[in-house]
Amino acid sequence: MKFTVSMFLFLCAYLYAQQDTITMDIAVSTDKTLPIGVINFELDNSDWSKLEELPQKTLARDFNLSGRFSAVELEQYNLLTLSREQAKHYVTGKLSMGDGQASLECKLYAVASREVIKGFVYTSSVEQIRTSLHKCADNVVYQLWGVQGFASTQMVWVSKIGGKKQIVAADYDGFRRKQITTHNSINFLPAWSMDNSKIYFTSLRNGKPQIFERNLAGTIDKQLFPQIDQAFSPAVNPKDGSLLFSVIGQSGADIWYGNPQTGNAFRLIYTTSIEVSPSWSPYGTAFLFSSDKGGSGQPQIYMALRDGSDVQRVSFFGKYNESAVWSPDGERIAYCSMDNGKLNIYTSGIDGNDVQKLTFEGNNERPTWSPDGMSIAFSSDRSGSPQIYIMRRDGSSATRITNAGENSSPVWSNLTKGVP
Amino acid sequence: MKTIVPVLAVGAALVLFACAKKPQPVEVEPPPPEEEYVEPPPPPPPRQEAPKEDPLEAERRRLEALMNKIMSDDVYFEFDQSTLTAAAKDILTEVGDILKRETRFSVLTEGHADERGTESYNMGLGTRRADAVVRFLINYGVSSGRLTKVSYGEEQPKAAGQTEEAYAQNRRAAFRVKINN
Repeated sequence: MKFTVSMFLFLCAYLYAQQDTITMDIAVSTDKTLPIGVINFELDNSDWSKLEELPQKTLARDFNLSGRFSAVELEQYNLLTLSREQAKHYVTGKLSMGDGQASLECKLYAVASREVIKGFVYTSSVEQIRTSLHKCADNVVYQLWGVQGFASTQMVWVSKIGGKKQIVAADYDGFRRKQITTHNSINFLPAWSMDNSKIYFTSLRNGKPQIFERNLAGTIDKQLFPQIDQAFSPAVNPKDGSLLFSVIGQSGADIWYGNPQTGNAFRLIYTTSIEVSPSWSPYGTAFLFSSDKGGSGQPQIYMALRDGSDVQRVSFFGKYNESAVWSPDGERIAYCSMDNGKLNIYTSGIDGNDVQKLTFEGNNERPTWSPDGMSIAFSSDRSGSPQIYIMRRDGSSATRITNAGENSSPVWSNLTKGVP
Repeated sequence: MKTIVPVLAVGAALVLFACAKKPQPVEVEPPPPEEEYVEPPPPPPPRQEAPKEDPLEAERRRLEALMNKIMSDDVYFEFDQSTLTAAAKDILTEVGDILKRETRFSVLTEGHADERGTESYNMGLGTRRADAVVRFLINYGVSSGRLTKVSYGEEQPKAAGQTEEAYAQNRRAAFRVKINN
């Protein structure tokens, strides 16, 4: 008997050691959401045909995408439904027009007492009502969670326009999209500057990959680090705005550090293998990158201090781990991993343990954290064409925010300081 | 009537002749004025020019053919690999032979990847494929100063679609040739 038990234990240990990937099903969200009622807004008799969607729709989407709430949408106040859904709060309001300006009144109520907890009034043009509604959603997040939400943030991504990849920016929910780059070439791998006033991106317009800067107030693309022959995938230090990027070297690709103000740049990580996808820690003191020094065709995630020293391997499960991004609280990383030829999004602790698989359908790439770390945006071809999705950080409630064409490589903007 | 007809005929002939003289060269030539003066003997000039152009023209055509040959010689790779296959080495020895003969040629090697995997890592993979090709050519005896490389990652596929055939076409190194004077 003793023999068989030890045999069994040995076999278990052996099987565990052989295990290459970890997969787990997350059918139900592990983070609880707070139910919140969203009751139809009252609209006055003005012409609201220019309104893209009704206020309650925008607001309910903001709550659902926040990773904090689940919206209970109602035409009117209904205590029974709200109680059954365990909503303790609800939001509703009025939209009216006066002197050509739209006035949005938005109030947060307690369900049981129907008392106003907090009210907000915003005056704007009709086009800016969405901005007001996002501010309202952020105010409700602040009232009930005490933190700054991301409903007023932006997203930048790559969209195929006229067959060419172009950088576009939009509200984080995909609405009000603007085309940023117009040069008839391939433009990709974008990043926000620290204050959201500029976009850094990679372009093949000169026949090779180079990094450009576009000030969003202007229309000119400025090439950065022209002393470097070929560079791509800029990543912005959240504390001082300096950049990390990949440079095509004598052999493979290396990680470089560059200052976009002075134009100075130098090499940080130098090997004969491929080093790509740098991503700063939230404190700007360390960074993640991928390297295939462990085996060609098999990138793994590594971590280094900001001077390139103390390189440590982070990912150990799976053969292809790439595009790692550090969560805003510094606790976890999100990355994509290839299994059976398909890319999926995973998160893990920064020591590489506690691996969670978040996506299960199609190819899922380029995770980017919401500024508060509650949600992750990514691109997926699960619907047949690549589109942008937002899911909660545990992989639940994946919601598509783009519908037409081909959209990929989302990058979330930074929070602008202060409560909305 | 009989007298009028020949007069008309002569007149018509004159008109035709007059017309013929002017429009004919215009119709014949897209590059206009020069041959208008050489009009009386139209056949000789091309015959004379052709043999004159021949040595240069033939050389130009020969070089063009060689350049096209190199540029059509894509080198293919296995999935996620940058090692040169036997077929790739055969192509590269042909390209290397041409480059060793034609010392005025300089070559840009483009490295490409199929769309599987991430954009960033595929940029690296494209580099490594271009590296493998450039290294082979240097070892084959082509001077490194004539060889440059670029990676386009998965950004410029040759074949569209999500099939293994398309992927195989896209995992490649391609050449662009320039003549230095």
